[in-house]
Amino acid sequence: MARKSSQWLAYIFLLPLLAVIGGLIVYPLGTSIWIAFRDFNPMYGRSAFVGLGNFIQLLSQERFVTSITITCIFVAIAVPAEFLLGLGFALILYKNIPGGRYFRTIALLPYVTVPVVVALTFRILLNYRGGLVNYVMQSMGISPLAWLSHPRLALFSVVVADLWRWSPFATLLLLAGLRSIPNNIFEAAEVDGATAGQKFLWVVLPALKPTILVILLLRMIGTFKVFDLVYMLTEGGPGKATDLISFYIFQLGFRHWELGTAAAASYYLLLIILAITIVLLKRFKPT
Amino acid sequence: MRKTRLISLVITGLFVSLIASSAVAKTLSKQEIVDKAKVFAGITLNVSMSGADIGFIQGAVSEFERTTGIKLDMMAVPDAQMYEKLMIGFMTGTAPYDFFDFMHRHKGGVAAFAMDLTELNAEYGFNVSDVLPLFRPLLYYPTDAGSKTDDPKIIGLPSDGDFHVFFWRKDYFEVTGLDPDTPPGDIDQLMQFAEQLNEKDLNGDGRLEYGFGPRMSRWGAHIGYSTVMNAFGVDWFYENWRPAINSDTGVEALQWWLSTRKFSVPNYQELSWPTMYEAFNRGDFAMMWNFTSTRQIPNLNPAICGISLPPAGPFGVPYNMTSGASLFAITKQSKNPEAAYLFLRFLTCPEIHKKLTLSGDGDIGVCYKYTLYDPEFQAEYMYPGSWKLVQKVCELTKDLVPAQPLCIPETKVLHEELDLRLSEAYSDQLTAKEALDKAAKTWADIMVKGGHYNPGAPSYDPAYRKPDIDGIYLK
Repeated sequence: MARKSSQWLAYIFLLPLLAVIGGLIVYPLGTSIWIAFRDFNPMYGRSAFVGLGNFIQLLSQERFVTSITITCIFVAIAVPAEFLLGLGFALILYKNIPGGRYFRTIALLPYVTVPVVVALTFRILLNYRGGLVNYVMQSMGISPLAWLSHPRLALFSVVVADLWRWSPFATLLLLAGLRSIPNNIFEAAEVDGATAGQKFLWVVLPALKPTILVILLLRMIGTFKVFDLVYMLTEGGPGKATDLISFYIFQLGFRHWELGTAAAASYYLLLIILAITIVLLKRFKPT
Repeated sequence: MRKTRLISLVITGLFVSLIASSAVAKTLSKQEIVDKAKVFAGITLNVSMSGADIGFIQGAVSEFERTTGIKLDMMAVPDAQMYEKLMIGFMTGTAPYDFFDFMHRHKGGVAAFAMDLTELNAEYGFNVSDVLPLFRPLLYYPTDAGSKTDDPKIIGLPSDGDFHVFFWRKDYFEVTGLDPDTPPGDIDQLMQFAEQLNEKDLNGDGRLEYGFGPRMSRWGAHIGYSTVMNAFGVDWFYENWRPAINSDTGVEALQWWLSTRKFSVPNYQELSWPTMYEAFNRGDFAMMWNFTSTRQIPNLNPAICGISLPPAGPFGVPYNMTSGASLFAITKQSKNPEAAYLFLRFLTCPEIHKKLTLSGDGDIGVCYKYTLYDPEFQAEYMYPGSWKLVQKVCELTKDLVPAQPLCIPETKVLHEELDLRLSEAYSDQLTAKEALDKAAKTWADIMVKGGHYNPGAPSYDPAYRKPDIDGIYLK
């Protein structure tokens, strides 16, 4: 009897959480699924059921296919670069260099900077005539580049801005991972005559596998969803050079009011992220 | 006999002046508006306003609150998100606003949610003829390029009016042997001047300057390009709503516009309208066309900068009305429409409109006659003689036909598609014809969804015609 009443009590305490989850996650999720199967445009009052029509229509839309492609390229460059840069900084910070504590704090500042500020800062830095980057290049005798106007350079600039902001996140996690490796493993490796490189390859990296998986997963998901940088730096331009999928979905949903198509596009994005997540989980499965 | 004739002349004169004075009511002064608004003391009005305006307009807001007893709950909305925020609020029924401002090019979307002000205008004696002729079409929906109707509504009063003008650096002209006081008269001359001015160190700073600065950023690309369309006489649609942007003349227009890039700064795709001003002021290029801006133009040095009408294209001098002009409006669901309307009249009354326009901070362009012809205003308006330019443009609209901006519910979507394709052409991802053909195809799909091809749907009212509404231009 007492056990039953304590069970009921548990459910009662869970109710607020369930209400929040229901209101903030389940209901919007359910609504977006409902919308994805409809020709839903509130501007014209359209809400007809179209089945898979939105999903099929998207596959024939050049802009959707292009934005997915550009996003995949962006992710394929940005995520490994963030990881490698983060690993480099983590290895440096792992050694007890003089002033390391202060350097650690400074190195994490980009991570805590508001994304809009990051974008605006890079817009100023990369300005063709007045930006610091071209100024330094010109003082070294190198011709200035149109970082945000040239189609290839524009995507590269967005990658660099994303790299600057998120490498500290990788650094933070990898540093924690490094610190968690027991010293006796390194000692054992030294006894076996391992070089620094061999220790890194056969001790450090395997020990960091779970951390690496977390970084790759979280950054992959985050990079697929990048919106603020594109919105503030390039607005998807020049042309379609930085027309990432999140920006396209935003335009489709909140400027064109084609909410059904936008919902369908976001579920395509979800499927892609899920597929890559499954691949990563299998690849990094503990042996 | 003479006495009788004299008496009849006096009576006739009195009668005529009585008729004349009653035909056009006197514009309400600030004090008159305040007196009328006092009956609503104690209520709160919810106001949505552009974030760029809300700071500088605070003085007027405080004065209205203090003198009328009406409280104003001001909500700032960033310019770039104004359309999305307003439309989401209106469509979901969550917008609490009584009063809002919006950009003219968004009229097609917001018109359904704005109150028809015809009756309130009549009740409170608003004279449409007080609005400068160039901006009079802003008030009505629909009268711009769009669906024909016999029953246009007044859905707002202009808060800000601007149009594209041409700027040039007199100092650069002089250095290269051009007459510093004579801008190019047509687009061929523009290209000649641009070539002469291009890639030279015109100011001795050791860096190259360029001939021309075209507006080619992706956001709002259609705005800069629509001036080119106007110069070539390219319309948005044919009468049957088939897109006309990719006509032979349309392709020719875009090809010409693309050719200006060879005399332009390499980062032309970064240039939005305010950064163009900064770059021009900095001396990066010698010529540009851009909005009249009471915030930006005062930063220019009148000794070395000239302003004139844009150079003529094959169709004539372009009057680009697809610009950033804004209106104040009342929402249909407002519970206090009269109080909101009186706040609107307060902001547009002679005393306040002059003050706001002269302040320059909020980028409010003159759009009322009583401001333009005010001697104090003329003495101080943003740039020596610039009020004369506005006057000239308004006078010329009586004889020439400016392009009506597109104002249908689909306008925003159509413009964004055109922005994307133009941007692809600007970055050589597509040719001019490919870009316009792709845009036209998407436009046609959008128009199908909007029902414009259904039997019985109103035909397209072309951009190049005087509106049917009597008195919009001519009075």
